[in-house]
Amino acid sequence: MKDIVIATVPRLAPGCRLGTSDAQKNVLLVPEGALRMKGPARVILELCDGQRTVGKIVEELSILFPAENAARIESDVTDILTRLRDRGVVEGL
Amino acid sequence: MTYTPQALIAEVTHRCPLHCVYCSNPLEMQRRSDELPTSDWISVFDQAAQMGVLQLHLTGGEPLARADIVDLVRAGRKSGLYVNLITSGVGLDEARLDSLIEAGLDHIQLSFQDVEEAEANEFAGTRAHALKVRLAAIIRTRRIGFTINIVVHRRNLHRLEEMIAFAEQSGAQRLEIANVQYYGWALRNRDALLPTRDQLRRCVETLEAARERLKGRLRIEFVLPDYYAKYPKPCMNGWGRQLMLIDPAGRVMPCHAAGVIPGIEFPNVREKPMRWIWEDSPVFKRFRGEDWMPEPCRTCDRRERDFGGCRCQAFLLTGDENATDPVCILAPSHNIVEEVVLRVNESGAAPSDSRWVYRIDPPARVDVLPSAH
Repeated sequence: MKDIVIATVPRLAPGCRLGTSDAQKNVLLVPEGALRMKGPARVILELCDGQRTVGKIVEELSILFPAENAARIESDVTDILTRLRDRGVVEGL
Repeated sequence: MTYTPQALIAEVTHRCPLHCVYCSNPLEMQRRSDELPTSDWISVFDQAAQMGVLQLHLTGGEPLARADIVDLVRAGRKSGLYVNLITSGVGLDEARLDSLIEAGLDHIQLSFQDVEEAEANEFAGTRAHALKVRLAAIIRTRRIGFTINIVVHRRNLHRLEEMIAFAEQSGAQRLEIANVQYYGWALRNRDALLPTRDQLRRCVETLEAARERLKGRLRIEFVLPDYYAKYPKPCMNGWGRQLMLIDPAGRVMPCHAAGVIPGIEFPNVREKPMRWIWEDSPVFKRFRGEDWMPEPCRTCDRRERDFGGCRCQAFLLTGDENATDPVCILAPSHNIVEEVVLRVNESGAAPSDSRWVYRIDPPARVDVLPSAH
C-alpha cells in the first residue's frame, strides 16, 4: 500500500466513530464490532476531523507532548494511520 | 469468570414481507399483538448500555415494519450504543432513510438474496430485488456505514464473482457472503441449499483473489457452511459470553435459535432486569464455562476456542442439547453430518426441480410451492 502523504486530510470512514461514554473511552466503534485502542490512537483519531492535514496533526501532537521527539511522533502517526486506512477505518489518505 | 455483553440483537418484530426459504427466525413466531412497545425497548437499550453493551443490531423480521423504528434508532443512539439496522430494504425510501440517519443510525446492512432478479425473488418468495438495487444506489450517496449481505447456497454460489462485482460497484464498504446456517426454516430446505464440496472449493479461490484485489476498498467477510468444517464454529463466541438477543415479545436468549432447546423458560424484560438475566438467570448460566461439557469436549484442547460448538445445532441434529456439535470430526454423532454431506455431493450441484418449502406468516403454515424454474 502507498505511503501516507503529509498534506492529505484524514477522517473516520462512514460507520466508524469513537465511543462516547466513559466505558467506551478507548473504543473505536466499527460496523462489525469495536476496536480497542492502545497508546496514542485515540488522540490521533480525535484529530482526524476532515479539516486537519496529517502534517497539522503531527504539529499539534508535538505541542501536546513536548517531551517526545518530533520525528518519532510523525512516524507513530503515519504508522497508525496506515494501519487504520488499510483496515478501512480512516479515509482521505 | 464474569462476562460483559458486547452486542444486543433486538428482534423488534417477526413481521416480514419476505419469505426466504432459509429464514433464520424460529418456526413459532411472535405475533404483532405481543410485540414490546416503544417504551420497553427504550428501557432495554438504556439497561444494555449501562451493562457495557457497545452495539445494537435492530433486526427482525423486517425492523422497518415497526412504525416507531426512527424512535428506536434515536433511543439506541441516545443510550450510547452503536446502532445498526439489518434490513431487507422493504419499507425504506429516501425520506425514511434520511430520518433514520438524522436519528443517529450508524450503519445499515442491506440483504440480498442473489444478483439475478428472477432467482433473488424466487429465494425470497417476494419481488423485492429491484427495490433493493435502487436503495443501494441511494444509500451510497449518504455518509453512513454500508454493508451488503448476500446469502449463498447451492443454487447461487456459482454467481459469487457477479456478487462481488455488484457489491464493488454499489459503493458498499463491506460485503458479507453468508452461507446459510441450518436452523429455523433453513433446516427444512437443507438438502436443496447445502453447497457441494466442489462449489465451496471454487468459492474460496474466488474469494481469496477478490480480497487481494479489493484490499482497502471493500472488505469481504465470509461465513463457511459449518457442515464442511473440521471443527465446530465458536457459536456466539460462547453461550452467554458476548451476546444477548431479545425477541419481539421481550424474551431474552443467548442466540437466535435457542428457542428450539426444549424445557427452557426464557426470562422476559417485562419482568426482570437485564443485568439479572445476563448474570444470574439459569438460561444464561446453562452452558457457560465447561461444567456441562461431555467428552470428547471436556478434555479437548480446542474447548476454549470453540466451546463445544453450537448447542442448538447439537439439539436439532442429535436430540441432545448437551452433545458435542455433530459437525465436529471428533463428535460421536459426526456420522449424521457426514451422511447429509454425502447425499448432497452425490446428487450434485443446482438441482433443477427444487421445490421450496416457503414460510407463510402469520400464522406459520407449511405450503409447498412449485419452483419458478
